[in-house]
Amino acid sequence: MRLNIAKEFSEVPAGRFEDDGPFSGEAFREKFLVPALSENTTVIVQLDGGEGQGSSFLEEAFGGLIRHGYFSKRDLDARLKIESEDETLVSEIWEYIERAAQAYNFDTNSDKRNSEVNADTLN
Amino acid sequence: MKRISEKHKQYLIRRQLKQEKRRLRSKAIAKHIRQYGANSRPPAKGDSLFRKKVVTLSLPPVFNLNDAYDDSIAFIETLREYGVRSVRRFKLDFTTLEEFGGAGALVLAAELDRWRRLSGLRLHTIDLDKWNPNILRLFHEMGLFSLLDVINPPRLPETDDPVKFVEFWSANTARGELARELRLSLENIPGVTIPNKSTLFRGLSEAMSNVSNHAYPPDFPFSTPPIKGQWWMSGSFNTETTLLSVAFFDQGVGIPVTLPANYPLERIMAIINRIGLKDNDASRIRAAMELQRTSTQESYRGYGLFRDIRNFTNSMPEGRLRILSGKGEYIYSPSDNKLKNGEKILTHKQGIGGTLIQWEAKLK
Repeated sequence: MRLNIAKEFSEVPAGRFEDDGPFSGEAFREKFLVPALSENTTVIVQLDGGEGQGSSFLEEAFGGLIRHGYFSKRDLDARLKIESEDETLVSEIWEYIERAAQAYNFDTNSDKRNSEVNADTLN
Repeated sequence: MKRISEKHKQYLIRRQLKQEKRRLRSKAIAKHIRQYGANSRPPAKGDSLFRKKVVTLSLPPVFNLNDAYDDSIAFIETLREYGVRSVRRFKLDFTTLEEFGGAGALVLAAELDRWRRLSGLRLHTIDLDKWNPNILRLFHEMGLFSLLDVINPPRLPETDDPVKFVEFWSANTARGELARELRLSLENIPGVTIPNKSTLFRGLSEAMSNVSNHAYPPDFPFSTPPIKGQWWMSGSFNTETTLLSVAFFDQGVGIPVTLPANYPLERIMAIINRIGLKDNDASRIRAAMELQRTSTQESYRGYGLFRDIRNFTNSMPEGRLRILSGKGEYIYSPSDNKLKNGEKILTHKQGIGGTLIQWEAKLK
């Protein structure tokens, strides 16, 4: 599945949490990224086409996948692809995922965690 | 009925007047606290609330955050005291103003906006014919009169001045579309094409996010009541020098105060000591830039701001970044050979009352 942030979410995403603004990293993760990863084997996130994405937006959207226990690093390595003309942006996102994984050690019990999350997100 | 003596009658009248004054004063204090919060100083007996005299506050002849920093910030402090912290009737005299800097204009506009919002007053302009016409044009172009919702805004023709300003933007949430609007407004000026629009957008959107998450902690005892979450943004372009300038300002607690909330103090002090500085506002801003480069997992909510705001400066020819926060100033200009490692810090006598981020770059 392909997910283009600019076309399907916002060309001007900003903010980390939903309280920060209408197109935050948290909103993108909860409403788009988590459902997409829960329902598809592979998700390709396309970053180009909009005005850009700030660090807080990206960290909360992608690092939050690990921090909130949705997926393990192993899962994301296998199933998440990130595309951008700016390779540094892709590296930056994987850096956030890596740091979150190191901090929260979510690399085990991925199947159990995913099935719990699926029940929560679909309800 | 017993007759009251004239003396007793006068006594009763005086007593009635005193009680009425006390009642009005209590009412004014209660209204003040409702408007400005319990932390602000309530109107005192001698305040001009209870007198008809209007105090005139005159702007200094030069208002900028460079060589006139001290006088300009002193004026801002006076404005805070009169307009926000206490209840006084006053007017601002702009006829004394001869020269105005862009970043200083943003800070002044933010202060006037705070005064307007917290007081509930609608401002009106006076003596416009006595203002310096360049200042009047500048304010008009910047949209200061519409930002402040002035009752009688002037109508002015376009001029040939090389410095073109776009209107102020202000909000209290992270509004990426306003960052885009600012860029588009700048690119409407002949000669302006911003080559790295995504890096500018990242810097501005990250600044907005930082305001939401860090700048206005809920229980912080602000000396001047803030408009929680509010930020202001402006831009200009000099058609002769091709210098582009974008500024972002908030009236929050400042980086030196929020830094220890995101990083252990030992790490902050280790960096400050390693650089050979004393612990003050300027060195903390410098440390924040360093910490972001080497941040670890405990600071996932830390300073992505600094990566994003530096990137635009790095990507532009003769790019220059300036951060004013608290009493500290940090300048980053990688192409300036006079600066060691392209960096410089300064400490001012008075704090700016928030955080100002200013980007400058030559477009050609």
